[in-house]
Amino acid sequence: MYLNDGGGGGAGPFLATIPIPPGDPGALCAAAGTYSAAHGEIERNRAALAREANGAGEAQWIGVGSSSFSVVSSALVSAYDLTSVALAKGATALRTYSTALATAQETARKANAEVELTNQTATALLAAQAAARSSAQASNEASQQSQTAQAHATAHPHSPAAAQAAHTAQRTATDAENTANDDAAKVTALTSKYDTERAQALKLCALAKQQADTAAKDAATGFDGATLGLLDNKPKLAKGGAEGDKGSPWEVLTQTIEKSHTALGFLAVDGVLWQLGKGAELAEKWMTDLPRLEGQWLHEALPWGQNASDDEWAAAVRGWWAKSDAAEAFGEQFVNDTKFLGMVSKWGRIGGGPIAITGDVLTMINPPQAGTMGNIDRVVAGGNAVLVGADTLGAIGTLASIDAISFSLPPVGVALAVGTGLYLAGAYAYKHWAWFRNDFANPIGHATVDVVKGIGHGTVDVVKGIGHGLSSLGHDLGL
Amino acid sequence: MEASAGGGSILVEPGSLEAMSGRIAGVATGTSAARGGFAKAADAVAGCQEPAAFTYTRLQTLLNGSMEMLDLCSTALSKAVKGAAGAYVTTDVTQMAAGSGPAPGP
Repeated sequence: MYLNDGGGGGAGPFLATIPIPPGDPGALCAAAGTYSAAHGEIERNRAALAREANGAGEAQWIGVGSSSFSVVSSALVSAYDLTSVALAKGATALRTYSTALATAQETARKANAEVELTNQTATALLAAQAAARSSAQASNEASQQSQTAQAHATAHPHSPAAAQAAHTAQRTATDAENTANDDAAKVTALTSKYDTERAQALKLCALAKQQADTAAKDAATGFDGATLGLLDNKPKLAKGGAEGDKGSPWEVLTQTIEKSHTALGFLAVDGVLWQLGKGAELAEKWMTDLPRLEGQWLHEALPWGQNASDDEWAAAVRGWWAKSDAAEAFGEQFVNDTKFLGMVSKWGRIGGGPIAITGDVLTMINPPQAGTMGNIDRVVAGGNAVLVGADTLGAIGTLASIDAISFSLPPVGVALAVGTGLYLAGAYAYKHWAWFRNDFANPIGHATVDVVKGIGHGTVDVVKGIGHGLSSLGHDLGL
Repeated sequence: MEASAGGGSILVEPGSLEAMSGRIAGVATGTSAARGGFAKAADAVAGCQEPAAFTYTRLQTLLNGSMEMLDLCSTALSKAVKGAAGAYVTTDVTQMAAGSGPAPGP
């Protein structure tokens, strides 16, 4: 007779409450304030920088250095402008989302209150239905008894006792019928009340869900609008008379810094500017070369041709782990320290660099879609990152296959070379993949199979933080 | 100070450049401060529904990077201007020293 609202947990005539839409409107509102504050500060800085960009002449500075300054400062003003606008848009989106989410949560609370009310009415209705059934049965029984007494009185027309009994039975039947009718009327009234409340509860439940979904989608549209504005590559004049006529200000800034390198060289600060881009490149090269270097270190560490004991082999491998761990830790710190510096030289080439790795890492950590599609997103993002690990994969493939024969090993037999290749692959996997360690005691053949199976996942971990060869964030955003 | 060379003339007042460098350094400092405060907003969407949470995190990451870039570039520009002032002063002193020497022969 009665249905649940689809929210789960309801039974019979009872409705289940719905979850309050997740998120903290207060935190969103506070973040909007933070964005507005940052917008104000960046806007002030943009204006101040624009005054300097336009005021070089007032400083009586004319010449090559002045020209370089003008180009750089103008590009910076444009970049400040984009950032300022993106912050303002972000603040607006956050504020709107905060309000919409609060509304959705309030609707959900009202819906749940209505659900509680409906469930109370359902409880009363069930009790009334039980009472009505009981009184109806009592009324039927009283009616039958009245008919029996009346028949007995008819058969004994001169019996005062029979006549009195028939009269009493008739009165009892009438009372029972009235009670049954009253109870039935209560059921009718409660049913009507229940239907009304239930419809209202279901309506509010649906509305709350719709409001939450719409709020999240609208917020995403607003956030992406700010992001796309930040990456704007359309020609645009900046405020304050600054120049911005060569596409994205970020690209202009990048080109400006690269082109002005020579012009600013005589100022003895070119190293600072140049290093902004070079630091990240060096860090990436370090991490890219590291897997191959690690393989070489392992080869050099192992006690080839020394009749070494198992313990000596194990000690050599442990030493290699320590060395590789230190190198990777250094490399990751190197990348972390320089990845945003690399934007100076790479922002204009959105297809590569830290931005791309950031996008993919974010996708892996927190895919835009839940469930199966979310997993697909993870796979796609992971696949991009795996491209970065091609060198790693190649190194493992070489070590683990017959190519190990050509790995310039010391004079060892082919059988040992192949076996060593498997050992190298196993050692590599043991170091990098914790899950593999659980299988390490298994036969080497099984372990090697696991290595092959795990390569796709393992390389993602091995190469995290490396930034090239990835799909672009711009592509991710549908640019 | 005004000087002429084969590629054109240079007109500069190093003191003005020093002052300009200071003002641009102020811009860099302000940008750095803005970025520091901005980081507080990183967790604003914790637990929020998708796709809002993901897109916000992406925007926050990019804005954080862009402000760091502005900070770095402003700092570099300030140092460049300061370096320019120093370079002009050095050139000025050198030229004055050269100018006070004996006159070249015929």
